[in-house]
Amino acid sequence: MFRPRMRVIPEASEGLKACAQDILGWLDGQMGDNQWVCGDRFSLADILLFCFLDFAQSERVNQPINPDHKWVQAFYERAKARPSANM
Amino acid sequence: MKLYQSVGPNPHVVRMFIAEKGIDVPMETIDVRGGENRQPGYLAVNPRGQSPALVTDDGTLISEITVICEYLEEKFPTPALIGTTPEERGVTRMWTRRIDLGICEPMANGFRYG
Repeated sequence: MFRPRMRVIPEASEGLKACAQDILGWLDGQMGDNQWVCGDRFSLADILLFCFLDFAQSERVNQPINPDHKWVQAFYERAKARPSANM
Repeated sequence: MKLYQSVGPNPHVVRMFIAEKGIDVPMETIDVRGGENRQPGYLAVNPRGQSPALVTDDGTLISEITVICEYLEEKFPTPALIGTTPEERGVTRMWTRRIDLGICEPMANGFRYG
């Protein structure tokens, strides 16, 4: 879908997906007991992370949350439960 | 004020931010799957051809999702979604940039290039 609209780099596709997972893994390890990315307060950082995780869960995008990333999985469920998540 | 929006994670971020703020922003949906964003009509709105895009009350184009959100935070400060002190705002912006550059960009390009 994107090829006629912009430069695409097919050979980079798998590597880029792996890069995203690397940083998700790093973030997972940083979050400790945080409810949200910045601690107790819900912020733009959470909205950004949630919406892209949500996009990634679809069959078409197929970059599901790694089961080892326990904080990320719990965060995703918490954010998805907010009424704003379905807008 | 009007938000041009569509399917995709980027418009979702702005719609969710707007919903968290509890504000009403008129929206127009464009058909990105059909390529409407690359047609002259939409390029006249946002020459970059990307969705979403905000046009302010005085006709100024603001695009780029984190920037649209910063603008809305300035216009509608409560509830705060970026922060109420310089330190809070610094921390939010740090994490937003880490997530954007480290996760969202490679994730989205991994999808687009595949």
